[in-house]
Amino acid sequence: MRNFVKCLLVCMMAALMLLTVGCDKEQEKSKEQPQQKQEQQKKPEQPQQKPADEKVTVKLYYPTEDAEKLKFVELKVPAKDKYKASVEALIAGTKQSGLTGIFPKGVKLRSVKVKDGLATVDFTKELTTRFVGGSTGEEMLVGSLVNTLTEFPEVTSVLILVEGKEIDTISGHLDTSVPFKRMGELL
Amino acid sequence: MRAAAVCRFLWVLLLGIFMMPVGVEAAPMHEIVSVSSSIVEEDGATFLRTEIGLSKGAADYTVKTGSILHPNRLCIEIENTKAGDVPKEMRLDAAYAKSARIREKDKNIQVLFSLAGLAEDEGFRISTLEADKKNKKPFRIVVDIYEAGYVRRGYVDGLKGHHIVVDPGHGGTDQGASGPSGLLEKDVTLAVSLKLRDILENSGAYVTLTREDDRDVWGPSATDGQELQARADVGENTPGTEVFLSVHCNAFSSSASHGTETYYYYGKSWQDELLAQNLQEAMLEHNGLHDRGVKSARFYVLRNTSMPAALVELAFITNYDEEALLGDDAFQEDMAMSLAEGLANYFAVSGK
Ligand SMILES: [Zn+2]
Repeated sequence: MRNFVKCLLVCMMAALMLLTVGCDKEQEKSKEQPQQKQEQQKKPEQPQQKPADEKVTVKLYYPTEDAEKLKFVELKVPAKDKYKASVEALIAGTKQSGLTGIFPKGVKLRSVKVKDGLATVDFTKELTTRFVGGSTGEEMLVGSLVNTLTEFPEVTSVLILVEGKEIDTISGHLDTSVPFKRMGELL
Repeated sequence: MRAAAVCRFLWVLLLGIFMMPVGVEAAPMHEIVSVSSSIVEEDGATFLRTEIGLSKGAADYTVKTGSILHPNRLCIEIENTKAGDVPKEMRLDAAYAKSARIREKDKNIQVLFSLAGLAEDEGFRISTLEADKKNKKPFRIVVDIYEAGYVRRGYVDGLKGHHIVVDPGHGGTDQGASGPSGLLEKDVTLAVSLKLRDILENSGAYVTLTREDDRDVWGPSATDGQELQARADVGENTPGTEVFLSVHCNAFSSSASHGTETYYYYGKSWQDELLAQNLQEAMLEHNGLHDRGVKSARFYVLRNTSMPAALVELAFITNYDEEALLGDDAFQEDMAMSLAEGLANYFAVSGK
């Protein structure tokens, strides 16, 4: 009975959030909670405990200007939007000297969903249509995304979508049809 | 005993049946109708050209060298041929070859050149010319002999008989990356690949290109996956393919990135990495650019080919200096030569 009430509460919360925030990630989280029985005491309280503006520090990986390596920059982002905020920061690029952005101009993030260790990141079509870069550019783009998201312990692999669909490649080099694991060789 | 006798009888009978048609309707014999020699200058090289004219069009011939007794001898044996009204012995320019001699051997004709130097593959080139009715010239076997010690342009030792598929990256509706001055990756990869094909073929290798002009391999309406798979399929569907080599120019969002690198797909075979290493080393030896190393990456054409495969990134088209190099004909030729050498080195060390 307590479980049922809790579940109902969570569902209502989710519905409310969907209306007010409309954030996919929050929706995902709320769904998972009723299943995690061991952590019931702690987890369901998190949304109430954490104020809306609570921040977490994330590591964002950008390529060096010579495209030899990826290096990280730390940034404080809203905890509830950490995936979305991280990817959007990668898209925006960095002012850090010696580093550069690799995401094409005009591309936007459509959604990030994390489930069972897999982060599915959906971009608008500009990811492929306006991409500038060859093999190394593709590697750096995918590497910066994958290494940034796999910094979150709950993420082990990353799948790239464009306009909601799986893609074979960004510009003819890397095979993007299956998820990528952390690309440690670029660090 | 009796069984053996029957067996022998049957064998003789069988042999007779097989031999008979040959005796009855033997193919008409070719006849050497002309032999001429001259010094030719072509592409900056000077060589002695001998044209052997044959009466009945294309004839089968074999080239033999490496005789221990006659290390300077180059022998061209033309099958089912007789010597017509031509000189049987010719004195030639001694800088290239002392003499040429025509002799009959069974039903064949041997043309024996006594070269100035050792008879080695890089010292001569043999080709054919179709009959030219307008100029009243018959079908000809053409023997070009270079000066002793001359290293023929575009010849690389150790490639003879090998089967290679070369994939000029991008093409058609997919222009690949572009440089600050507008140079397109698809044009550079095609130019280098065509030059590479010439060198490989000139060196006795069998070459198939995934595209020979500015086009999409699958077709303009293909998805990216179909297009890349169509390239991998050329490797898969060309019998005997030993190596799949994809040629690209690199690109990055910052013009600061530069240099040469080679990719392979980890986990296919040990030859893939070896191939990549040999190509990378040979390219650097020629272009002297920054060494970005040999890297493993999940590239579509590497992952979806079953034979050893590598993808070379000649240089960065998005870097000003390297864009200028990539557009330069001499640089393209040099890179093609380096790739041919890298392939030859790979075949040598992989024991294939
Ligand atoms: Zn390319």
